Amino acid sequence: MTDRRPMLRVEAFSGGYVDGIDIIHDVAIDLYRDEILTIIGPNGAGKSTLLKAAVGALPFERGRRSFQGEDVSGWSTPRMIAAGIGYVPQVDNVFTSLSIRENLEMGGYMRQAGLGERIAEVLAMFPDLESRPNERASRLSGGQRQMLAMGRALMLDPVMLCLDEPTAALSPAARGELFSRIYRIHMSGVGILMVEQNATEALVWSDRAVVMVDGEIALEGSGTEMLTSRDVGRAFLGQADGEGFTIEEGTAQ
Amino acid sequence: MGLTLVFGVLGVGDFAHGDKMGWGMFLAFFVVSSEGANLGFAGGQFGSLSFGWGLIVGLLVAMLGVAALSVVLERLVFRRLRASGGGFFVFAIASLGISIMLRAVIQLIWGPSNFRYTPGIHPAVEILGGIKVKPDQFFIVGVTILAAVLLYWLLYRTRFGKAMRATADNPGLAEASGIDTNRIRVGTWIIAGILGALAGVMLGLQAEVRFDAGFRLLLPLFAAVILGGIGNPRGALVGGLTVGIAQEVSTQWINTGLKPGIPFVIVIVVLMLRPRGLFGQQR
Amino acid sequence: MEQLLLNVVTLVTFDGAVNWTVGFLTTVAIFAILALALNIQWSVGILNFGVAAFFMVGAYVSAVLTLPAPEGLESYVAGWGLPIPVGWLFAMVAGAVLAILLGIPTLRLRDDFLAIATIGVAAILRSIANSVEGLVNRSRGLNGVDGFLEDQVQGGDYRWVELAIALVVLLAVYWLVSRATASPWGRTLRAIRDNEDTAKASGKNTVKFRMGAFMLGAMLMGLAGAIYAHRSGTISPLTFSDLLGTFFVWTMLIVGGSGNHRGALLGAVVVGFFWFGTPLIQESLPDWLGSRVFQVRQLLIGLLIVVFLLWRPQGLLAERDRVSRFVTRGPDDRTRGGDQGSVWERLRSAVSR
Repeated sequence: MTDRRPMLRVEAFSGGYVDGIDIIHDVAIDLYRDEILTIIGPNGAGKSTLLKAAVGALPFERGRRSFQGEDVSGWSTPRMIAAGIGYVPQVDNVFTSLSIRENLEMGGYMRQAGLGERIAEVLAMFPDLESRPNERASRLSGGQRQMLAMGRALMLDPVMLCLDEPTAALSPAARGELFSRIYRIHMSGVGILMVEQNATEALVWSDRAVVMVDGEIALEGSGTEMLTSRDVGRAFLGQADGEGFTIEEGTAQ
Repeated sequence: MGLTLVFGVLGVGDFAHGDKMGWGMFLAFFVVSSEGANLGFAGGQFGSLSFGWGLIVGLLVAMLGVAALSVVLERLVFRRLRASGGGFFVFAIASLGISIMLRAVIQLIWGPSNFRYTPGIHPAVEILGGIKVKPDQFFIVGVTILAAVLLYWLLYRTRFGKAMRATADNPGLAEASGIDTNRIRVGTWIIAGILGALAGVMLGLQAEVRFDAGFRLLLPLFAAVILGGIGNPRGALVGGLTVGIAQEVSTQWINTGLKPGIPFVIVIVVLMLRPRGLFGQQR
Repeated sequence: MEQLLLNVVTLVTFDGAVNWTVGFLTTVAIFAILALALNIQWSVGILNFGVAAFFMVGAYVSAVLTLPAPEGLESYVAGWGLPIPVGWLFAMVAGAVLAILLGIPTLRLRDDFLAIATIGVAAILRSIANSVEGLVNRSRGLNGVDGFLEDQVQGGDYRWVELAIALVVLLAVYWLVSRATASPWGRTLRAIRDNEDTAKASGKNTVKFRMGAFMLGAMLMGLAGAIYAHRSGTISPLTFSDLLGTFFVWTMLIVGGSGNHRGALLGAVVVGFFWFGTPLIQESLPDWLGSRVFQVRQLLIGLLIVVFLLWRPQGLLAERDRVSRFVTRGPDDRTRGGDQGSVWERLRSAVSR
């Protein structure tokens, strides 16, 4: 873990939806290709905003972004995506009226060659999708839609995948399935940055985690450290000590 | 069908579509009529059809003209409105304003009279079981089927068409996928313009060339689109057939003067029973 | 409708100018009522492209109720010779009933459906009036509709009474809509317009409120129709064209400034002057233009709509304190808190989007 260089670095950066009102303040995070980094924190802490900032999907921002050592601060989302940062928004992340195969095709819209091969590769990662490539996305279950959304983002062979609350609104069983898929994607050589409300489960799969509160990074550590840390419970939920770690966050959304 | 494309892909109901059809009708008329004849296009008829090369050239001119008109309007008006964050309402009213202008210009140039592409009476020929059909009508049906097949192929089999559907479905995600949505929108206007011009010329061939014909068709058009489910080209075709047949058949029982009301009744009934259209899917 | 305004020749004399002005102001006052009524509907995001339908229903209902029984070749229903104020009342009722019939299937659905349905109802009403025998005298129209108090006044002076009637009703309508907008009911309407979801979440039945606004506007349009019928004495299906009955009113609203009642009045005067004033200069125009002045005028009406939407979406008179719904819903829009909840809440909802 010592002499590796970060794939994507987002630093000293203030951003939000409104010019002049920041949702996040001076935050700096480094993302590495060989880890799953999870951002957790209460509602409105700025987690999704940070994720959007990382892929250039915010209307206003100040700060620097560098990707593989190159300054990419002003890049638009399509450019970031073309460069190898996959992005899966939290909602509306598939084309519901298009078939599974067509969704993947659109994900690979910027590909010059090898579209068909890549579709086959991506489909192979998700058996649920592979069995019925001509099904319309609107007929898929929530978990399958998330898989399709990830598959779409994988079409351009990204080195990093940014996932915005992939398991929101999924059943516990579907969440477990999805996390294991994410892990498999990661093992194939893709760095993962995800924002999660289902913190306990997400931390189990994470190499590293960042806790955001009120637009700032409150805590940082490895996934297992976080799981056992009492500070996390306190900072995250404002829980009193000793209440254990049953997180019911996120239902508001 | 052009209308449903615009409806779907651009998220706007183009109230000027009918008048664009009117433009197509008149551009073709210009070519076919005496002014066009001087340019050396008129003349000749194909077999028992009522028209010759003149109309084919006119059709092409109409398609190009209306497509160009649509693109100019997109650039001058709709893109600006989109940039300033206008919603459906603003687009609808703007397209109404444009519709009024287009009609006024047609009247300015050609006046309020009615025309026919080729004067004279064209007898119908008898086909099976005593049903009489004009040769022109075979042509119209054939062209419509061809256009429908081509459109289907474009939307479901080509990359551009799929990107059009993707943009219609989720513009934000389309953009994030690297689809140049502005190009898609321009392309959509072009295709819709071509289809509109085609429809206008066919209408002129079937009936009369008159300045407000396009606008009069707007309601049946919307009825067809709603019936078929907004943004669903397959639905629009079936919807168009249903509305057309319903209108014609209804005159057996009701006053001919009430014919324009039929599409309206269809709209209301469909809205009450199946707001998403006959073929509407759950999202 | 053109014929109502005196011909250019009469303008040369002082009396002629006065007469023209009186006639013009009366017509504009009637259109101003339509514009105010449309503004009420528009203010809750109801896209009524069928103003002509409500205008027409009001005119016809009041006319058939107050006319004597049909004679000779004429054939129309009712003809009970009722007092004119009763005709006005039923014109309003008829407008409201039409609004209910249209609103029930469409108000719950996408915004665009109502627009299409209203444009359609105007077309169907015209075709019914034109083609059903024994209803409203078909395309022959209804003639000899009496003016209110016409029998009490000496012939030439009656145009002043017409103007007075139109202005009094306009003032009453203006007062009514101003009161309505300032009331809690009006505030709710604005909240619905600005954010239907938020309004819904705070427990308001938005469909009910929108229906209320639709009905109120439709009643006033019906009233305007009734006043028009008694003023002009003659109505026929041709009178209520989409161009004049609907789009013309929209142009007034957009030019004057929507979401602002004074704007609607100003728009009515400005656009009305433009429209009804053009025949005055027709004779002094070069022939190539003079003969086409009506088409050019129509072209300019369409152009006005588009130009204002593009360059001055708030209209001549901007809505005070609030941004018109035509104006950019840009970032600064989100910073204004008001009845939308705190800035923070709005930001949070934006984040979760």
